[in-house]
Amino acid sequence: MSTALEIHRSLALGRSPANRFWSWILLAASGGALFVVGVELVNILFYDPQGADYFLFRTAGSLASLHISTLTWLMFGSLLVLLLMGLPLAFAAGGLGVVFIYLVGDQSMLTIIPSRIFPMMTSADLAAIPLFIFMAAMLERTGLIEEMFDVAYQWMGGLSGGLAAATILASTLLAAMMGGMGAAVVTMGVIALPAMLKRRYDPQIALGSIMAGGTLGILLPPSILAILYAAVAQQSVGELYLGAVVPGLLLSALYAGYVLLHTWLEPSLGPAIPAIERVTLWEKLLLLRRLLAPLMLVFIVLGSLFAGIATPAEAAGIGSLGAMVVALMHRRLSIGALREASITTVKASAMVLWIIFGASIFIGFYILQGGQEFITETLLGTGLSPYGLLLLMMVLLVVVGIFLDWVGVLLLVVPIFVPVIGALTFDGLFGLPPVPGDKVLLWFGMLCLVSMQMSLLSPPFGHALLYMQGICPRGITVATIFRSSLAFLGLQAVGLTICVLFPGMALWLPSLVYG
Amino acid sequence: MSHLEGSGFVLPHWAYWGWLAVMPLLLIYLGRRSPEGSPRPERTALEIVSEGDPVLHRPGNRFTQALDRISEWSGVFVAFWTVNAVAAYCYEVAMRHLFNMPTLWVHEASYLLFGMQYLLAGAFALLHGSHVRVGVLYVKLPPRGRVGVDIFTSIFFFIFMLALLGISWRFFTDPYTVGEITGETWGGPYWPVKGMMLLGAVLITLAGFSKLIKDIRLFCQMRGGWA
Repeated sequence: MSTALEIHRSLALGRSPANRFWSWILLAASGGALFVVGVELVNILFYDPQGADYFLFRTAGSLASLHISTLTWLMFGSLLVLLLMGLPLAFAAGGLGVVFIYLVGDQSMLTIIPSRIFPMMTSADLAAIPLFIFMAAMLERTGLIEEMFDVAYQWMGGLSGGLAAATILASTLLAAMMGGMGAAVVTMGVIALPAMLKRRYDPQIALGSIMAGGTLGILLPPSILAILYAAVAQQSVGELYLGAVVPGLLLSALYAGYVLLHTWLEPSLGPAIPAIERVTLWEKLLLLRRLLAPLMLVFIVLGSLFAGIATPAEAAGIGSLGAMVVALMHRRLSIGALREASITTVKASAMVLWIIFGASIFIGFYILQGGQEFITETLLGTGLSPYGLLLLMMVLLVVVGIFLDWVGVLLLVVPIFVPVIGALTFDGLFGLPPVPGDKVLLWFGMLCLVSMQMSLLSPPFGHALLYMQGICPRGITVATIFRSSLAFLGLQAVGLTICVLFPGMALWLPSLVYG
Repeated sequence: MSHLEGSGFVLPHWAYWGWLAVMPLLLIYLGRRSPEGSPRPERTALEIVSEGDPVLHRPGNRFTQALDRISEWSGVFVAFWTVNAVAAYCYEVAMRHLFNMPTLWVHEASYLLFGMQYLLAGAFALLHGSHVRVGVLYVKLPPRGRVGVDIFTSIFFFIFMLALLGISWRFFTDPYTVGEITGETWGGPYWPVKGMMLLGAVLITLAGFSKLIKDIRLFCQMRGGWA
């Protein structure tokens, strides 16, 4: 109905002069671009690229003598414009990559494209991405998430703010089984939000705990983001996963502590469930059986990975099988369920991988043109201390992450930052311990993951907020959703600061296991 | 295959390709009789962020319907491959740790499978609007404006695809390519995978073409009156 209404509205506008003006602009722009592309196509197909002859005009190589700083503005500026016009990142980056390769070089230079795409297609490490997505898609269909929330609900409902803390707890466990955040936010939003609102919880506490808990999914193993960082920065996935455990649990504890403290001070924000509705201790203990399957699954997947029994892709395969077994136990395993999980997986992984293809053409060409050195020199030329530069990068990551998908940030921004960070030494602030030279990139990876979490929770465009808006019941305004994120955003900043000041937070577990 | 003797079961290449071709058909056929999976009326996270494109889920004319059917069918077909990789990795881990006989083919077979899947599923993802866009300004535009900028930006989509088509054609027909293998123990053949790169580019170009036609039709309909 609403689309029909919208169309009617645009119809009314369609006759106004302003709309006619924009229609002409569009027609002219499309026609002009089409003309240029057509002429260049004729040039490519029928004329010798080295020859002097060409059809009408030739733009190949017209930007060849451009200085890298101008090229930087031109490339990233046009990317920004296309993205704001709504072209998906994969195609904006890929299309512009091709355009700039042609404008700076010539058509023969386009042959670098397969050398960017093919290694990504045939990477054994990236194979873990679709499998972890598949595992999550399968688990979503088992009803396991509802059960986990139910157990946490019964255990903690008696406390003030207990349901919010239960949400965070269940989200943490969920994050240890799922590699992304969308599923966690959406599912918890559908289950936990009505439960909390029915109990007259303050909407800000309820929304914030769901969104903040959901963002843990991209930090805690098995995070897909960590797999991508490992590929970009040449780090080991296992070490990144281990490193993420302590910061992830720290953030989870911060969220839960905040919620409990806040509602303890103001019990009306999160009233405890009445004593009549609580279950006995014996029943609570019996309920714990339900956690057996999820805990086993986490233990098998992460345990086999950390113990070096399985590669990330193998661990994801085992986890997927485990998810199927869980589905079987819940009588939810059928070919129909397999098909649905497979289709969810293929949509999500195709999206991620096409972004990788497009972005690696774009950024690969930029680095080839010396963009890497340019950024390094510019950043070092600011005269900031290593920690100052780090702060600058974190802010940039958060800001860019608000607009772009996290896959895009990792593929477009992180490859430029990684060599800069690798060249710096971090001697520790305020007399605190330094970061060992060979562990800097691992530590930086952790900081990137935490910053990405912040951007997911940042109003107005953070993805967690978008998901929340998609599933929120009537009566909750967008402004409430925005406000609810602020406190948790502050907690994430605290967590990030702790990880910067105490590198051991991220490095202790990996050094314990990998030596 | 003499150098692989004594290393347990090795999946022959013909069986690999045959199974990849047959298995999705088998599951699609069996799945027809199987009930739907768990009822899941809520929208998925991907669906939530992909909204805002007015042309999504529009039927279009018969030509675009035919193109959409190709995209849909190819996506469902390759989607089922994931299940094979799950089985293969579990088999590998079991063989390695329980029987101390690591297989030599599982990793190669699986990453080749996924590589082909990503490329071929691009069209399916495009059809369902799964390639997420930055909604900051886009969703603020009136629907006709959104359709309009989609028409304009599609030029860059087609530039990318034309380059991909041309390059993957040359990549595929490179004389060096014929008979090229991965260089690992199983010797998984590269050239069919490179062929899939070309096929994937063709499929996503067709899907983009269908979207462009739908966009243009909608753009005109919104102006000239809505029947």
